[in-house]
Amino acid sequence: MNKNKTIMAITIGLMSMILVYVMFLQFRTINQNDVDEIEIMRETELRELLTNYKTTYDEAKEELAEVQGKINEYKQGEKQEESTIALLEGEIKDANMKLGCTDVKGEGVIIKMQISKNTSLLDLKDGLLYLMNELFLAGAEAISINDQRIVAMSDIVNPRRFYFN
Amino acid sequence: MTILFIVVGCIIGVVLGVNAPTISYIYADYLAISIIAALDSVFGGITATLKNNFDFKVFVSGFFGNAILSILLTLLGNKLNVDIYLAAIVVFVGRMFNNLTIIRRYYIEKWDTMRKESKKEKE
Repeated sequence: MNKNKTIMAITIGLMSMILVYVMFLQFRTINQNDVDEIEIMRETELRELLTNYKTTYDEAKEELAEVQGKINEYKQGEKQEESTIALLEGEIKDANMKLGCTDVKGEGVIIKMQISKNTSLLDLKDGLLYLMNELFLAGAEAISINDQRIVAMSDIVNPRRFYFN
Repeated sequence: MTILFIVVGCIIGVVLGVNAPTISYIYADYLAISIIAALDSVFGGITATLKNNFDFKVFVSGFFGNAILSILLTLLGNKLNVDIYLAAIVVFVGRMFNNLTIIRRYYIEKWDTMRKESKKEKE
């Protein structure tokens, strides 16, 4: 009976040792990996990020194919003046849209930002720039902030007073 | 004697755990789930002791069996791209809470009885 009890006690002691050992190993692993953000990211998050990059890449590829198609059209249309003019008009229209000279209609998003009193000017500027870049990256054709169209040459100066261009 | 072995085991475990080289983060999920399974067995063991139906074989098999099974389930979940380990966590943590409730009630009742007895003795 005593022998059995001793074996039981030793086994429970060994089990406690294993449990505590594994727990501390886990604590240390988590602590060490806290430093490196990439390693902390879960597999699903990384997969999501990769899918986003893949989508952006596919879009860029499509755009490239479109531009290449236009170049081919130019080459073919050299002989036919009329089609060249139509093509150039289309290009002018496109350029005007990009320069913000024409109004754009269609599907879009409206983002309402509420600025707290504690937000610094730099944070606000950086936030707006980040948002704009993300929108352009997502494929936005035209962006306006407080009814002021944002184009390639736009500056964001003192956004608290809403001067953008 | 058992408590002495537990304390010594814990101390050795802490020393080994602090000094051992860390494992890759990929395996952290598996370790975490196995720890929770083992803790569930520990609380189950304590509850069984309080209820006077502690079985050593059941305890040991539950401790290692649950840990290994939960690791295998997590592995299967990763292969199937389903977070099966979440289900295991829900079950183990739910059981841990149940066991903790039983332990808490047992000690509260014991404390109440002791207090009543001491009151009677004073009277």
